[in-house]
Amino acid sequence: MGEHDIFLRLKNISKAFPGVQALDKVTVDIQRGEVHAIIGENGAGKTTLMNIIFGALNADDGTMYINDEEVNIRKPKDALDCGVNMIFQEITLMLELTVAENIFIDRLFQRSKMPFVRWKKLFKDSKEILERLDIQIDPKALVKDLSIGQQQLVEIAKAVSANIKIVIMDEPTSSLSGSETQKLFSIINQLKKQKVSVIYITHKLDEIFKIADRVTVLRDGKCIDTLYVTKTNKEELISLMVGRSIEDVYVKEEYTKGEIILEVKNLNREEFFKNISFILRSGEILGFYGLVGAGRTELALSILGFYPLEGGEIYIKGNKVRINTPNDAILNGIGYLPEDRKTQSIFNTLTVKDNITVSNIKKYSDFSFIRKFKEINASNEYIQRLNIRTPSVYQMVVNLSGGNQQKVVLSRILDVKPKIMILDEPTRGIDVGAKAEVHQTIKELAGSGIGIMLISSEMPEILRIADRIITMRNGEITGDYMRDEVDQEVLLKATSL
Amino acid sequence: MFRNTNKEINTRIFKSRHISDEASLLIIFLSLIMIMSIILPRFRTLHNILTVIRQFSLVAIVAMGESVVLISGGFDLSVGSIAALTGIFSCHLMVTFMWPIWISVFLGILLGALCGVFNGVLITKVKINPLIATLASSWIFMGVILITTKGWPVINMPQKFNFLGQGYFLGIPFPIIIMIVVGVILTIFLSQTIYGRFIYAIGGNVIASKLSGLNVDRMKIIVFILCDSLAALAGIILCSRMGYAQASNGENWPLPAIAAAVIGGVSLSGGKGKIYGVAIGAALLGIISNILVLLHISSYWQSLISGFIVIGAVSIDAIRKSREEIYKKRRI
Repeated sequence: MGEHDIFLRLKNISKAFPGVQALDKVTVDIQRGEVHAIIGENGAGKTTLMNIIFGALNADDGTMYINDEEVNIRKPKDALDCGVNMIFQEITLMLELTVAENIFIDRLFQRSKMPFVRWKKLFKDSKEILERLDIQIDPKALVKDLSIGQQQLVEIAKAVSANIKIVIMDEPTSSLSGSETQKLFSIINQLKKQKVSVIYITHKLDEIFKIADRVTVLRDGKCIDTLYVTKTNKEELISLMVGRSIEDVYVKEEYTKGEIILEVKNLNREEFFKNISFILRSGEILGFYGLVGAGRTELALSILGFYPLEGGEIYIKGNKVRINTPNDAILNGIGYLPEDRKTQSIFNTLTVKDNITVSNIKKYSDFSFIRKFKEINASNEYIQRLNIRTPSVYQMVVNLSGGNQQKVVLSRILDVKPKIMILDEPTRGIDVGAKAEVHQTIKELAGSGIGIMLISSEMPEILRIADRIITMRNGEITGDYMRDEVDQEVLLKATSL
Repeated sequence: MFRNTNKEINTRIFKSRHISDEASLLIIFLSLIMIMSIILPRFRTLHNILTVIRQFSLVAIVAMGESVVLISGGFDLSVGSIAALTGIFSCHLMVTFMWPIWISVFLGILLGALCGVFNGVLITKVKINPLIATLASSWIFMGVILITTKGWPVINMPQKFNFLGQGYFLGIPFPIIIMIVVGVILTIFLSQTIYGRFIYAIGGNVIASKLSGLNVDRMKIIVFILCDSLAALAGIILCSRMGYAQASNGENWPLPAIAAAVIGGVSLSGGKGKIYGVAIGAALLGIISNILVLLHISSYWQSLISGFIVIGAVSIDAIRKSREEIYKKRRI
């Protein structure tokens, strides 16, 4: 494979979102038939870059070349026409259809002159594609009957079934088991033999050394370096990813140990987690680190009474409590900031004020009638205290930026005066400035004596603000460390599969 | 560093939303009335106006109840059967058992409330989709009527009962007064009480509501009790107005009630809507048929024209929404 066998070249790609430069003059080239890993911390710009290649986003500046010809990819269809396809993290298959139909979903009718599906040919062609990739799945099986890992493999078969030259995989192993990951790697090797290039986004450094040819490191939207995998090692990659900011990441004031405010013993819920026991002290920020799917969110929702527990005990300030609904949790002083703003915490049809007061609206009412002035005063207090940027309390919350929406939800939780707060990915999808503010707020809350469970998949965030870190893997606790006992490598080891 | 563009975008969105759904509907509605008053002198007579309002007042009461269910993210197809069932029940108490009128009416409304509990429990505890649950329950209620009455109407209600549907108070037909009272109470309920806030919240995002500590199931049952009690009220007034109670009373109410709510700006996916919008929606549907009569257009046309009005009113909303989407996309 020579240096000149370049299929896709990106030159000076830039993209800004309000408040953040997501990509800053990124230049990368992808050779024919290579596996090119892209790594970087969350927010480094990996996903933005891939979305630009795939046409889901458009770059502000920069050019793309395919086979040394400038191409203008404005929408995913353009990318597909150029032979570029992308496999997203979430499964996009149609669950009620067969594997074969899913593979050919966009070409079911083009394949015959009549408006009828030619089933025999469809199954035969699908079988060929699956066999070529060495995937043992029956093309007649319904997708809903497959495991998540098998679905992911079908997703790949679908992506490469057309005449594809480059396939982008966004963390393809995040929902795969060990043996399924091996399967994926052998498929990738098959693709390489067929001169298909793979752009491989991952958080798992070990995988890079198993499968990739070259690796590009992104940090803060900049392309730091592109290296041959054989000429680098894990430590170098980590230092490139983290960069100089590693020093200021580790600044952390001492905290005084408060009394035990929450203790859970042997919490069980077969499908998600088992034998979870830990304590949380007042004034403490307890980080929960693990990969997506390690069972952290499910644990939080079970403590909260949203999912029923199958076993175990919860003690608050030494008293055993029974929590059957989120309302019980609130009455026991537990506030929860959900993981997904859009589906779990924001009321799109309500105003900022309504969103802030909804959990504790009784406080602002006499005989069930809402006292609007009380509500407005309280909302304005939170707007000032958390620095929420909104033109007025009557603004619809959906018009606010992600960071400000998150502060609105935080206000709602603070409004019930919690003693314990469970924050689930509190800074996901919000820009850098707002992130720092949310971190500051979390520290202040801990300072005021609230015990905080911080669930985060962002290692720098956990290392920056947690006092103690619990690591989870496959629904089990694998470690419980004081902040100064750990670094990134310890956390990676304790959580990766 | 921070979004300096945020403020100006917000003001832009403000401007695009300056006219609410309900307000733009009101403008259309008022202009229709003005034009009709000018070209049709008979339209603007007090007598005609009161007749029209009386005609749609019962559908409006049902639509207001229905809209509360829709705002909470639910759906109720059983309001017609409940209106018939409770009407027959009340009249039966008066005629056969000679019970006092007001007790009979009260018990009829109470039966409506019980039907609401039945619907609410089916949806929240048995977890059946509201559309199917209320379709099934409406057949069950209709079955109860047919089995018990064998299809015979109840007649010969006491003279005093006629006041409910046929009487006048201060020169205004009594059903109109009931409609206005119901509208005012529901408006206050939705906009001023914590329960109203809960209903909008649940309709807007049911998972967020649960995680925010709201008792979603209880609230959904309350909403059905409210809606089905109002259906019962309307059903009983209809019996008084017609002078008989029978199974087909109210059979044409559920879909026009939902249409009136949607024309009035209530979102079928929940979380959005105002009572006065629903009243205008019902009025618009009611006035159309009146205008057709006054213009000597065959009543055969009414269905066609009502269909286009629903499409027109809802597509205005859809166009506005897609414009808002464009604004939102620009922010990203």
